[in-house]
Amino acid sequence: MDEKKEKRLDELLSRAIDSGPVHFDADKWKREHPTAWQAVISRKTQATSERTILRLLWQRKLVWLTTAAVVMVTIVVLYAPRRRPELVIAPAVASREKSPAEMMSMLSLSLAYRRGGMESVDEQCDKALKLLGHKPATISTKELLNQDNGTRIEESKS
Amino acid sequence: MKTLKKVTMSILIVAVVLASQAFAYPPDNAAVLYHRAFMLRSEPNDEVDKMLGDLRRGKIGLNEQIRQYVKKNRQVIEYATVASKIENCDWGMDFSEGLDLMMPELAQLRQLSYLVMADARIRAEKGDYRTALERCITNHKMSVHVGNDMLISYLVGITINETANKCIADILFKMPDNLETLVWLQGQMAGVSRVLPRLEAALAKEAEVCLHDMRREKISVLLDQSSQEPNSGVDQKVIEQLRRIQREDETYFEKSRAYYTSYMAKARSVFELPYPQVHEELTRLAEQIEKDANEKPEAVLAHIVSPAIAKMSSNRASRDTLFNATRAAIDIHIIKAKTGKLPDTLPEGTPKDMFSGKDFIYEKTDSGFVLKCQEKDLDKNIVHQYEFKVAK
Repeated sequence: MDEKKEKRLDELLSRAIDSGPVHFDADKWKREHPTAWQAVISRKTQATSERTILRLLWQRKLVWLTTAAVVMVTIVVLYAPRRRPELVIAPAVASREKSPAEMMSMLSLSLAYRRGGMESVDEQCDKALKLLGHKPATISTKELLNQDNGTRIEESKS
Repeated sequence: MKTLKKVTMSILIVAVVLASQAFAYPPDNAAVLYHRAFMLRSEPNDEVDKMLGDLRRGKIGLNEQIRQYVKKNRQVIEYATVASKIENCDWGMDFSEGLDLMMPELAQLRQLSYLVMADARIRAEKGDYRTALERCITNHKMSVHVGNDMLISYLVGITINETANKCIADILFKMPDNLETLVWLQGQMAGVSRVLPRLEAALAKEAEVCLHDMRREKISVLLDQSSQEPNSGVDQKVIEQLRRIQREDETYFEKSRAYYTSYMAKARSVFELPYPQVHEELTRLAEQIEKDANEKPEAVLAHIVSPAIAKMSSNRASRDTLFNATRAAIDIHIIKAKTGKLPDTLPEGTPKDMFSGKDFIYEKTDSGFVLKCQEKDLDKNIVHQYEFKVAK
């Protein structure tokens, strides 16, 4: 019971019995009238239970509705006339440029030989080396040290 | 006191031995030095690259750009020369990689050999014939270092041998008679001929690797490589066959491996026969496997991975015949150096034409002499003959 209602009840009691200002002691009343207090409590619990059941029923209804919808959609999808998708076979391997390493595998070189003899092997070897790029002819220890010290080789040469 | 001296001496000896090992050169594996050469070799620009190819084929002579390129790679040639003299050469290949086995040394060694040959010609031009011929022997030894691993490396080895032999012929033409150098060359060529890469060895290793890869999980590798290039030498029918094989069970692969083992054993068993019979037998075997591939499922995969062995047997005979012709030419030059003129007949005991197993037919010409084979190259359907020019 909130404070406002307690105050109002005090005033009414005071006016009815004309005994001057009185205070309603709720705890004392609960102790002296346990049966009445239980009746108040049970009324509140019953109201809460009724609301929970209603909510559950509503949710169950939703479940049933959803299930029904899913079943209907499934039936429509399964039985509705439709076009079969075409069987698309992807190529086993996409054509791509071989790396220099791949070009120099035993199998790749053997296939090159099968394709065009030693000429073809020579050609493949040359192609692999070209892809690997150019390299310097000589790198002396001095040049490496110069690089390490942050001096460019060209500068150190000049 | 005596004990202290002994201990000190022992420590010194151990230190000296350890120090000598630490600075030991050359290493006991030639591949180490070859790799140093590969790393330092300057890649020629397109123009010089083409010139080197033309020089090798005898289309052009030396020019300033080639000389400059060779000069720039002096240290590289030095590494190749030292490496070629080392007996052991282990490229560190992992044969368990099977068909995926990487062989980058083939392309590099091939280019290195062309560089060495260009240097040989430059040396000969300067009159340093002995060093020029040493470079040719370097090339032959390089072929020994690469040619025994797989069939494809064997074939690259053959190319290197051919380049070296053509270069020797050109040098002999220009070189004034020098008995000492010729006798030295004769000995070197006899030594190299005993260790030349053997087709049988390469075939045995190839069979081992292929057999290891005749498994379902490896078919995708074969399929991938075959499908990548439209002209990979493998037709659409084979690609379809590979796709079907991919779905086969282990029993199929067991049968395939057994078929392949039997086929390769039959192929290897004929190599000791004379060339015409080898070629005939290998051609018959190749036709048989092709027929079996249409009738017996287990022969399909074996047919796909089996090499063109009949063609390779011709490659071998061609390499050995050119090698023997070069040795025979050296013998003839030795007689010329001794007598001042070319002999009228082929000297006794000269190496033979490997197509016929008989002596070469020797004919003197206006510019020198010709060595002719007595039997056809059955793969190319031609009779080889080798012309050697002689300085007047």
